[in-house]
Parts: sequence; C-alpha cells; structure tokens
Amino acid sequence: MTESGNDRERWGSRFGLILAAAGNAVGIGNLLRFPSLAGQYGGGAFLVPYLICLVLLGLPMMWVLWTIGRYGGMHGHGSTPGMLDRMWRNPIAKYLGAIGIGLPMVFVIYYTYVEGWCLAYSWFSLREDFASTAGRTVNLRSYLAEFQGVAPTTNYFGGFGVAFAFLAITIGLNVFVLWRGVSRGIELLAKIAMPLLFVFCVILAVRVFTLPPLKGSVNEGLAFLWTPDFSRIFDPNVWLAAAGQIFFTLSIGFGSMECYASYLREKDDIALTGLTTASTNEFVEVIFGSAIAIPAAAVFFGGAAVEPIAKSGTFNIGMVSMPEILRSMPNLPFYGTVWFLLLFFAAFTSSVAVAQPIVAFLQDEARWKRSSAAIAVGTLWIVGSTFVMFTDRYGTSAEMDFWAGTMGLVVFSLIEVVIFAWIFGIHRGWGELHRGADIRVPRGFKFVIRWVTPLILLAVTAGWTRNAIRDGTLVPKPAISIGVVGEEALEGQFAEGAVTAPEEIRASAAEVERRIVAAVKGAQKNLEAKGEFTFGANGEVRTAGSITASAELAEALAGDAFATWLEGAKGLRYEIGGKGASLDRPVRVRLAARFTDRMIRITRGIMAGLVLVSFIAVGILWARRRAESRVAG
Amino acid sequence: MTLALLFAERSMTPVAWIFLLGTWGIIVALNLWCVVRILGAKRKG
Repeated sequence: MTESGNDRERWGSRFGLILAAAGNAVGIGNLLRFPSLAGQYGGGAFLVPYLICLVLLGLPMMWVLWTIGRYGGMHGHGSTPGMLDRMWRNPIAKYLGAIGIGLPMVFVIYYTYVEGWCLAYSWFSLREDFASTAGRTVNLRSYLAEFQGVAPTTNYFGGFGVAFAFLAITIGLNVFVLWRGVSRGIELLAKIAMPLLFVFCVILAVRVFTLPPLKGSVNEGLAFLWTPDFSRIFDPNVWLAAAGQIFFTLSIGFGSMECYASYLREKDDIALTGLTTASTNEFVEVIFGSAIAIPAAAVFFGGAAVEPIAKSGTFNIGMVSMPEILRSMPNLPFYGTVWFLLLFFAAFTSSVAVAQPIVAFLQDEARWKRSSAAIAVGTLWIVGSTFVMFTDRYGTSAEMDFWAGTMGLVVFSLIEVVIFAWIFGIHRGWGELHRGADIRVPRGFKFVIRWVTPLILLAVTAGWTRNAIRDGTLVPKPAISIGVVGEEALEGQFAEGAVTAPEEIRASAAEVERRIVAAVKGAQKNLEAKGEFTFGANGEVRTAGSITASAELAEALAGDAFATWLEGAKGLRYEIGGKGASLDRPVRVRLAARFTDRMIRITRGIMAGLVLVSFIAVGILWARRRAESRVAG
Repeated sequence: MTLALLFAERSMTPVAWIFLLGTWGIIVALNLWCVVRILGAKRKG
C-alpha cells in the first residue's frame, strides 16, 4: 500500500481529464431518462426543481467527491476505503469506504449487459436486421424481448448466442481500456469517444429538426417537453424525480469521480474542473437529451402518442420507439448505427469509469499489477454479467438497479458528504477544495454542503424507501410475458398497450392476473400456457381454439379468461400500419409466468456477497498493513 | 423551410419557448464561462 501518492499514474492533460470525467457522467440516462422524466413531471416546470437540485445537490457533491478523491490520491489511495480512512481516523471509516467497491461491482455487471445491447443494435442497424421486409415482419418489442431472452418465443433469436457475443465484446473492450491504464487507456478512450458522441448528437439533432411533419411535428415534441405545468411544481414526487435525475446524471455515489480525481497532482485545480464536468454533462442532457428522442417520436407517432412513449420507460424509448422511428426514415444503416453507437459510447465511458475504482483498489491496496487487476475484474465481470443475461427474465437487472444503482448510491453519498463536512471538517475540506483552484467557489456553498445537501440526500432516501414500500418493490412478483408464435410471417404486428379496454374487461383481466400470480406463487415454479386466438375487425382478441396450460394455471385461464387478460391487462391488438386489423387465421400465443422469488433471493445474496467480499478484503489488507508497519517500526 | 415551420407552429407557447431558450441559454453560458476560465488559467500557467 503506497503511503505517498507520488508514484501514482497521472492524467496526460487537463482536456483529457475533463473529457474522461464528462464521459463518466454522460450515460444512457442523459439521452433517454431525462426527456422521459421532463415530459412526465411538468415539462418546463420540471426544470425549476431540476436546476435547483443541480445547484444544491449536484454541484456541491461534485466538489465534495473531487476533493475526497484528490486528497486520497495524495496519500496513494484511488478508492474510497483508503480515502475515507485517511479523512476519518476511525476503524469503521475504511469499511464504510468498502461500500464504494461493492456498489461498482454490482453496477457494472448489469450495466454492461445493457451496454452490450447498444453495441448489438448498432450492428443490427448496419445490417438493417430489424427493418421489416416482404415476408418478414419485425415487431420491435418482441425482437428486443427475444434478444434479451425474456420472451417465450423464438421468432427472431434462437437463444442467448447473439446477446452473449456482444456482451463478451463489450466486456473485452472495457477490460482492454482498464488494462492500458489511466492515461493510455481511459483518457485515450475519452479523447476518441467524447468528440464522437458530440458529433453523433449533432448529426441526429439536425436530422430530427429538419424532419418534415408526418403524424406530428418536432414542435409538438418540444411542446410536450417544455410547456410548463405549474400545478406540478409543489408535488413532492416531482422534486424527488428531479433530485434523483441530478444524482444519476452526474454519476454521484459510484466512487468513480473520486477515483478519477485521485490521479491529479496536489495543486491541480478541482473546483473549476468539477464545475466543467457537471456543465458538460448538463449540455448533453438538457440540450441533446431534449432535441432527439421525444421530438422524433412526435413526428413519427404524433403529439398525442408522445406521453405514453415517455412513460413507457428509458429502454422502451431507446430500444423500441427509436428503432421504429429510425427504420421509418431513409438510411437506417447510417442513422441507426449513429444512434446506437451514441448510446454505446455514452455507456462505455461510464462503465470504464465505474470499474476503475475496483482496479485502483487492487493496485493501490493489494499492490497488484494493473494487468492482473484488470484481468481479475474482467473475470468477475464476465461471470456476473453472464449470470444477469441468463436470469434477467426473472428481473435480476431491475433488482440490482434498485439496490446498487438507486438506493446504494444515495446512502453512500450521504456517508461521504457527512464524513467530508462533519468529520473531516467543512473548513478543512473547503481549504482542500481551493488548493490550487482556478476559481473561488461562493462561500454560501459551505453552508449548502454542511446542511442542505445532506438533508436533500436524507429526504431522497426517505422518499424512495416510502415509494418502494408503497409500490411493493421489495416483494418479488411473478414475471409474466407473452409471445406470438410465427409473428414474423404475418403481414401485421401485435402491439401491447395499444388499446385501453372498457372498465369491466380491465377489472376481469385484473382478476385473471391475480389468479395467475396466485398460481405461480402457490406452485413455486415457472408455469406456461398457450392458446389459439383470432383478431376481430379492430384487432380485438378472440378465443379461437383450445387453451393448454400447466395444471396449476389451467383454471385461471379457462374459457375466455386468457383472451380477456390479453385484451384487458396487456392491451393486445393486431395492427397493420398502426391501425387495428382483423386476422382470421388462428395464431398461437404463448404465456410464460415465471416464479421470481428464488432468483431474486439469489441475486440479493450475490449483491450482499460482493459487498461482504469488499469488507473482508479491506479487513485483510489493513491488517496486513498494520503487521508490516509493526515489522518496519 | 422546416426550421421556419418550427417557429411558426402554435404547439409551442411563448412561455414554453422562454423555458426552452432560457434553460438552454443558462447551460450554454455556463459552459462558455468554464471554457473561458480554463483558457484564462492556462494562459496564466
């Protein structure tokens, strides 16, 4: 363990550092999550809490993390166990810092899986694989579900082979960059990827803003995003969403900003560099995030359809709605590849950053060579991500995202800001922040860092916990998915959520779903069903043949119950050209109801195990250091 | 032509335009300020 930071790797240039730190912050969420939230939570009015949270939470945390990181780096520590141990001479500090090793380990193993999707879809775009052709209709929702292995059908993908290949390539690229080190790996990647990311954003924004009106106009998309709904401004959920977005977008709480700052010299500026990192991230998020996906959706789907698209979630916008738009435009291979490479680069620069604290921990504290550390991290990575890939049908990535990518980050940030402001001391911390600084941070931020930021973090933790309990997020539910056999050979497509059935049908469907859930919970295993259906003049579902199902499920889906559930709960409709159409030929719909409890418990065990391994590693390494000190003394 | 349509259409109210251009303006100004300060610091060495 190095006690001095003199022999540490260093950034090659300030420009490279800013690009790398901005790359750390800019992720998929900038382009997809921000517009989705802005539209849902009051449009322009959302920007009021958003900007306030940027000033009271985002910027102060940025300065705190950069100060912690550079201070740790001065003493030879690139990860939070060593950093917090230096700032608070208490045996517990290093164990609190170990959370900053466990969380990134969990985060990268599921985030890289998503990153692999982006790389895969850029390849599919280049090959026009998801463009519908004569004789092969591609339903993008089924295409994604089958690619992920979630769907009970195999119309487009026969298994996990393709997904695994892109996952392996993605992890290989990440490990290669980590293996090359800070200056020759991470910085070089940032110098290539970040300018490309900006160029891709400009290309897509220009394309979107020059689209002629079709079902709607760019203007309708902008109106959805920016028309302020002032009635929402006092809604606590809007403030919670804004604070959460600021938190995610700046990559706070992963230990990665601290790690990047640890490669600075003692008198390198962090005040202006931290601010520049945040402002570059905001540029991508607020300007490009609002200029691409939602305006494009308004043009192709119409202004009225934008709200349900925004509410459909980040991945649905990125991997279903955007491909639908891109394949409707001329030149899918170009614009599709640009869009998915944009998402891939945004994710790539973030995943490398989040994995670097683990590499730094092995290098600085366990004295491993960089190559050995990178290989060890890569091995854990491929095993973990492969587990996520095979088990995601049971909701494992969502579970990891809730604990590591949501709750864990806020709690760890709260720990860091309390240690910085209350234990290390705000006056001492303020002095550290301004050592070699190119700007003076307004003194009011001393008060903000000490009082306001921790209180906001406490409020966010409390709000999310309350929401999780209210929504039942902590209790595993069976994962129910459907697929239509031979869908690619039909002229039209099956759209989920396309219709809102009458109240009585929705009530009956909810009752059927309760019975499906009860059957799976009672049987404690996966259940399956299949049935034959035709579709009426407006695309509505009709039972056409026998329903065959696992014995435990047979009663729940008997008679017209299956069709009622498809219509009322799934909103399933057969469509040609976006309009309901009849289909007299019976098609077979498969239903998979998966028992998730066991896998969720295993996933929670793995997450707890990774954090526990971090604690044990810290305990062993610090004990070794004490023993060495005694021998030397 | 299309860009002209963007401003001519009625979907975006004046208040929405103020929010859009105001927020974009703040973000661009902050970025420019950072660039100027970094270049200034570099010149001073």
